[in-house]
Amino acid sequence: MGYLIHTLTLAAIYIMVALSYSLPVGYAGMLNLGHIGLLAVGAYTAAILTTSGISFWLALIAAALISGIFGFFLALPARRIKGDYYALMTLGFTFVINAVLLNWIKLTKGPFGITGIPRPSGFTDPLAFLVLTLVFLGFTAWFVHRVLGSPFGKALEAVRDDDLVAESLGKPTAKLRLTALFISAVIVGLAGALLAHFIQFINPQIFWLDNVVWILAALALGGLASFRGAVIGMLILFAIFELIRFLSIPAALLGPLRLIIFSLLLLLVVLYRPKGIFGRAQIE
Amino acid sequence: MKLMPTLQIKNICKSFGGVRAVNRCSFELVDKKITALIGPNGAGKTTLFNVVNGFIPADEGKIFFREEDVTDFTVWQRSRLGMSRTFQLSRLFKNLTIKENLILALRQDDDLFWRAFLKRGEGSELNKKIVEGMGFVGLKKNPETSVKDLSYGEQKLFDLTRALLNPHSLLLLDEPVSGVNPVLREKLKEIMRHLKEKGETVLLIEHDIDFVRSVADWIVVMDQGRVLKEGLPEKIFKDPEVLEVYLGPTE
Repeated sequence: MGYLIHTLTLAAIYIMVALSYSLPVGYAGMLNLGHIGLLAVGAYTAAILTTSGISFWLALIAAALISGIFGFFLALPARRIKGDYYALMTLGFTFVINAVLLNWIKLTKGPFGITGIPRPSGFTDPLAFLVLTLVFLGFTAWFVHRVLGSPFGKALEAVRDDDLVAESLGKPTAKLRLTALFISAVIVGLAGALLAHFIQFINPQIFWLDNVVWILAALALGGLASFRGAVIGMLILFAIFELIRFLSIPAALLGPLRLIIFSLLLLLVVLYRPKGIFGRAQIE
Repeated sequence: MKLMPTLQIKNICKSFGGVRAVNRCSFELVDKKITALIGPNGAGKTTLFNVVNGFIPADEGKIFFREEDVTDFTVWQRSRLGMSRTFQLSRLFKNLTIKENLILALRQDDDLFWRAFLKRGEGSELNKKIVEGMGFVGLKKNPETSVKDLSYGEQKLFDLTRALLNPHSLLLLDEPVSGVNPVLREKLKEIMRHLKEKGETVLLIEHDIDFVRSVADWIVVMDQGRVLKEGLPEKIFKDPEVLEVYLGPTE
């Protein structure tokens, strides 16, 4: 039972991550590989604050805001840098965040990570924390669903398909991209804060590149530019992730096997269903 | 007091590397008339068009639109002021439906995400405008179909519909009949006449001289980045200089 609650909580947090990711990647067409860096910003901001005695709720707000600010700056170059170059630039952001986390030891405790992150009072019980996470997930899902289905969501899709034409129809593309990435960063900052207080221990390793790959894989599998796609894609990957545990495989092989399976899945999706299960758009 | 024309192009210069694509180009559009911009390949028409629309910044010169200096305005700002354009090769939002594409043209407030949380009730009004717009150009397609299903000719009509539905006071049409079949060409002539009746102000680039002759009220001839001549169609097509540029030197 404890295992199930643990898995469900993690899954809920990562579905939040996937939903927030679909906004810039699936809708605005910005291949932001800095998303995991933003998750780290949220997690570390909250962890640093609560371990120095600040309340969980304030830390949560701070995590969302600071991640949002980083997201804002990450969106600024999108005006000039597009496509693969934007992906490379944002990948650089993840590297920089990781380097800071590893080396600003006074603040982040470096490679050892931050331990003893307290659960918020009233939510120390795993089941209570799951409920809290589900409330956040529910709110995120409602918010993202509403935004994506609105004219704003369509305007983002226009920017993705052809930003020059969108401009010539009166769409301020820079502002649209900025808003999309800001909202995405705020949500992923919240997810990061929840993650830190759930697993109660974070280190830079958790926010490294393999995580970028698997969030992207979830979105590619479920389908870009699709609300359902983000949720289902992440659920499928999570199910595979957990089910492998029950095979009698040496623990040392488990990690590599997961990566092999994800890569194969990604390959199959790209070859046979480039838009994913529910997707409407394809990143070029 | 004389009213300023919708669009004034003043001394526009634009170079690419060492090539002067547009060289001190000036003219004004006559309101509620169709002005055609013609000239041989490489005359600088498309460059000038993109400077007017804002895709390309001018090196020198000014663009005045509805009494405002828009030279430093972005593309979307010019669009919101009332410029609407089509593309030589139709550029559609390819993952969206016809209806979604057209709603994007109609809406001017979709950059505000928080509006997603307000009540909206203008759906039927937008639908009505879309049906009207498609009816005006004679595009017979289910609005719910993907734009990918449109043929080349239908794409041309669709691009025009989108530009017409985008709130505007100036229409910029980039080669509306290039590559279309004769039947559609006649249909487009008809549409242009209807546009004139509606009192639209149009700037048009077109190579098809027969088409230009039958729809344009005023013609501007460009050659080597300059305005060579401008005038009424019947005069322009008898002008020896224009004929020389188009057909080569006379004997």
